[in-house]
Amino acid sequence: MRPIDWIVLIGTLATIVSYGVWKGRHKKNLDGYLLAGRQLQWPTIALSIMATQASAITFLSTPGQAYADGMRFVQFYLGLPIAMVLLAIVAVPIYHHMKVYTAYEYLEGRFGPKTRVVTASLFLAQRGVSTGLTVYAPAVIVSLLLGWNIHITNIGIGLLVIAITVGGTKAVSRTHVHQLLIALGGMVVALTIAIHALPSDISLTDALHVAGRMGRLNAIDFSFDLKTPYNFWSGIIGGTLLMLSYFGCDQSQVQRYLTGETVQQSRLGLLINGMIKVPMQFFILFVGAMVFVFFQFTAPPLFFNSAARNKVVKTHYASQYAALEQTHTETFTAKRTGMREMLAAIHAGDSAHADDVAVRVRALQSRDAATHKAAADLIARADPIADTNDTNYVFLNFVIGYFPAGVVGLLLAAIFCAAMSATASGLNALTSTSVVDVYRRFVSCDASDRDCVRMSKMLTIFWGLVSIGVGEFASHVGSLIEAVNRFGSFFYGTILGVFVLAFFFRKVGDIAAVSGAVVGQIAVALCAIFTNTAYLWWNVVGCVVGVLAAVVIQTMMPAKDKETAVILSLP
Amino acid sequence: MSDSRGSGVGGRGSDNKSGSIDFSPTPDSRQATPAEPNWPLLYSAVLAELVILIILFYTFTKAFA
Repeated sequence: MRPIDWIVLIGTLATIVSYGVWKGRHKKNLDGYLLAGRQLQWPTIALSIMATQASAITFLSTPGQAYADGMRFVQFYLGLPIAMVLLAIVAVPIYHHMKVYTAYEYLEGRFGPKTRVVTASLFLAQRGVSTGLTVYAPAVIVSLLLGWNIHITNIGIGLLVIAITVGGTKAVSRTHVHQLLIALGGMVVALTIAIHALPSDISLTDALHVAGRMGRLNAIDFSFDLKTPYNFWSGIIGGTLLMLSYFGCDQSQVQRYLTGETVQQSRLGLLINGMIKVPMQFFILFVGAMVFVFFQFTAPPLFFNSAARNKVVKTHYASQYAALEQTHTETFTAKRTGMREMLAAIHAGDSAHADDVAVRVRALQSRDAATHKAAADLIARADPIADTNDTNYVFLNFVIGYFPAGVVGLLLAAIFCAAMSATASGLNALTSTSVVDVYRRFVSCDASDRDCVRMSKMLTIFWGLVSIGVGEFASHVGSLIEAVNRFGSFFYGTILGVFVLAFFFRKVGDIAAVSGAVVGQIAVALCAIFTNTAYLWWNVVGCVVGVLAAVVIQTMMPAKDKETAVILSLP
Repeated sequence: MSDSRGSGVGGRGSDNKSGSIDFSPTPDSRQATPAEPNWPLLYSAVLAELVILIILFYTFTKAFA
């Protein structure tokens, strides 16, 4: 890091945090503190929703995902626009009419306290861990590649987020706008530099041919396979249910659109998110595909996690690692020659020869992947706690190694902004749920607004410290973006099932809903442990099994219990 | 906005502690505002954009494969 990078990084973060603290002054009532006085307009809501979902993991791990696996990850988001439309039609009016603070508050009115407690508890457990991961994810990568102390980095990010979040939801939402714009601006700069860093004789069209022939532009795959993590069908079916659950039942997102001044503003915020999110993810993945092309003409390291690499060369595995590096260099040289031959054939219009060369280059690519795998195994043997999933290190390694002075600071600021935006929403939602669904419901029912705001600030600090603590203990989580999504998918289907029952199954009561949720969660656990089903399908299993189980249990209940089941009509 | 809320349980009332929620429509939710967007058209636009994106992504995938 050069001095100009430090100036850009510290200047950007100081401005954002100061702005957040300033915006968070003088909040004396709970509505103002937790829901920004329900006065926000759709542009702020839309950007806040996007900033909440786009964590540092999105900007660090997604390009690496495209580098290693191509752009098929974009299919994960195909269900998002569908979910936005359904939520705009069903959930937004209900939440607004009832003027609830949390999604779980609605469930008590619909079912009873048991369902509220179960779903709020599932949320607190799931989001408490996930928020810790969103703090830890950038901390570990940045610290390893820049040689910073992981604990200080983790604590530093956590404290910055607490400073913003303690100011309340308005401070969080307002800073989200700036954080997201900085993060996306950073990615635009990254793409521009990646394309300009290509050899002068490689045009953008050539880069697309290289990425495409190497399987990195595989954005859509219509084949149906339950074991494939990302294809059109898992994205449309599993992705829709995951997004319905995430945006409709997860307080970190529900709280964003509850701040809308009217139903109209909240709906527009969701719909704009539905229109922008998929192209945005495509763009971030495309950056990764271009980084892949860059490293077809500029020799990449055998292992991007330089800290792990530096450790293994100091052990008795050094000679074996050096041999693998030699193989990697030879493969790279042969591959680069093959790429140029393939491009020459494409320019000459000889597609048959281009296809033949592409087959040869792909074989070299497979050989290089095997060498990389061998290196990862060697690193794991030399240091069992080393992070051997290289996906998370590709993009930042590229930024640090090839970006000009000042831009590295900007990109790091972008990554920290993304980390803060997602974490702030998580803390904000954990606080709301703790105060509204636990403290004000069960601990101090007569608490005044002033007491609740004071308790909210204390709980924000508490959950911030919990997140830092989770980050301190987190390691070995593989691809970070997959880890967070897999963890979410484990619970989201079940929670969505409860909300589906609430919205559409009027005769299902409290006991049946809770029992259905338990059955649904067991089904997901069995599916995750005993089958190879891709994790997006867990959302389908949890939701469908939970709903069916609840309906069956309700029909089997004695007539007396059926009569006492809460039957409230929806608007 | 609602400083008088006395319970963490839903509903608009300040003394609602029973857990029940009033589902009756509020004035602002049932009366169309003057600038009310054409919602079916907006929903269709979001879904149409998704279909167009899928077609574009598929074309993109095939064009450079």
